[in-house]
Amino acid sequence: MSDWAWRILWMAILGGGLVGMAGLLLVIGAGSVRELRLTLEELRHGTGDDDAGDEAGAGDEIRPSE
Amino acid sequence: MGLFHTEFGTVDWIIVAVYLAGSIGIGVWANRYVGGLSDYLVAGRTLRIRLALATMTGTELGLVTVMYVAQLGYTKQFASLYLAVIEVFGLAVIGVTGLVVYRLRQEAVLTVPEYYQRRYTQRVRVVGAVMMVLAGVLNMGVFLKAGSLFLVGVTGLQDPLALKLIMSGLLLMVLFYTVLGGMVSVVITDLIQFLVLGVGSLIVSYYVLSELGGIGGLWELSASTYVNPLLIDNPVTEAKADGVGPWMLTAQWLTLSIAVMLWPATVSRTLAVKTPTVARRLYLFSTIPFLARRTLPALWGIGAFAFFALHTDLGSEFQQSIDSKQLSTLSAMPLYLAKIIPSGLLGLVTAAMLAAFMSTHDSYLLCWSGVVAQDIVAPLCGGLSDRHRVLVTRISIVVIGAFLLFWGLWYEVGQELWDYLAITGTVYLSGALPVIVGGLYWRRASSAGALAALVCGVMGVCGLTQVIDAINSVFFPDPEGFQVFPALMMLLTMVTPTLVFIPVSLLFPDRRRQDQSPDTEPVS
Repeated sequence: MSDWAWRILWMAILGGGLVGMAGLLLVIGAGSVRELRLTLEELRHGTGDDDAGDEAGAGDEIRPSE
Repeated sequence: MGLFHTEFGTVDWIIVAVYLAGSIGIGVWANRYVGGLSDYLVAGRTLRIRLALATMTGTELGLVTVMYVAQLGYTKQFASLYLAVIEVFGLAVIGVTGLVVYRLRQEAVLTVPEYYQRRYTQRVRVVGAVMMVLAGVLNMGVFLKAGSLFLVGVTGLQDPLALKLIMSGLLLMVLFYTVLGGMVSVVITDLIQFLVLGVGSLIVSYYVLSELGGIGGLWELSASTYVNPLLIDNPVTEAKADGVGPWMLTAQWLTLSIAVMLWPATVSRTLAVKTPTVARRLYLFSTIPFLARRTLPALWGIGAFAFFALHTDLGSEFQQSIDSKQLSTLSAMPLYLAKIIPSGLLGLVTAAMLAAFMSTHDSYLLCWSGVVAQDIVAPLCGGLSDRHRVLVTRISIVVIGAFLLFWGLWYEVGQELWDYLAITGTVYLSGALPVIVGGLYWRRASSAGALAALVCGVMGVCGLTQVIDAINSVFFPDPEGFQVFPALMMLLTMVTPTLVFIPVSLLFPDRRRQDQSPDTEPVS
């Protein structure tokens, strides 16, 4: 692999890191605050720790619109 | 402009103080949500994907990570990014296949050693827990020093006493809210820390890129720096064997691939999510924050390299400080940021980095202390009530915190920080690999094999520079002949426990599976 190919690869990786962090803040930021509220509610009512299978319900899918 | 010139001013101190006070307040407030042991250690397993991802990022993008990745960026420039490729590839494979983590979460245990008991015996659990805590606490021992070097560089604060007091104060704050609120306060503070850290890291990256002349400048810089990690000699320094090379690349590939799957602090977040499917998805989505944690600080390190190369007076002053052992290459990035980021924003960035410092410390402290209480003290005492387990966890947090303070103040890291972390990590990882993977996927894996593999993990300390120097001086004194080197020791340590585990398991099989045995400390 030539130096030129390495340089392309590293630029792509660096770009991916920058875009990834920005995207993560946008997608995860707001949704995670809502999920924190749900978690605290469940802890308050003692409804956590219920290995109820894989269909965990609301909050499991990531949707940017949320 | 001197080497320690900084834009950090009063307003920055105020920003940092307000942020830290807020973190403590939230940590104390979280205590009201802790009802029992499960709440305390895994937040009642109530975490959904976004929250788990945010807190995992908060934990794994710690200040120590920022420091060692930036150090690698400074010393090995673009070639250092090979670690990002390895880590992201490993996470993606686990995320797609669910390898190990899916089955581990299905076991519904609170800690990894608890799985050891479920699959093997109580003795395996205790030995595995001791190895895990030994590796974890040694690993964590340099976090405080890395944090203090960042603060010195950014704030220009050079009084060693003041610095030690600040770092001790930070550690005490983390201890305080972690002891009180356990995983609940860790999750809440980690979420805030993730948001502050995310914004802070983007601000820093913007300034670094601007300083380098944008993407075009970065591309031009890559032409005159170290880009090919397969070369063992770094073309920039022209020193012999100063680069990465095939041996180190293989050792790091092996270590890092196993670490992303089995590192206890990461696994503890996996065990805290709501379902096995969420655990698998968490790994898939984690590729993004893990890519960010391996690239953004590397960019800052590369920026520091270019800055000191361009400003030759500062560069030579910095190099003299390194040669006289006053500073190390770890300080390059914070000294650089102190000069390019304006006051006000520098306070926000410092708060973000202290957030990174605290979010890693709280999760790690809780993880290791949970293991001490759950997997060492409770089994040895023949079982403890939930109340006593929480108490032992809290005491362990304080004891480990005291050790970190002591170790962080006197231990001198003899190699690059990442190499130290990888080497101490192998003490746990090398033994855990066959024991966990074998336990989950190989019916003939036995307790004798597991114990032998776990104990073999102690070999990991042989990778430390001080031990390698001792081995070479005794067994290989000729510097021109064969000598042991860190990558070789890392590979040997990683492979040996697995090579021991297989034959010992075959020679000494278990009479019956542990999950059929009723006479031991109950799991969970």
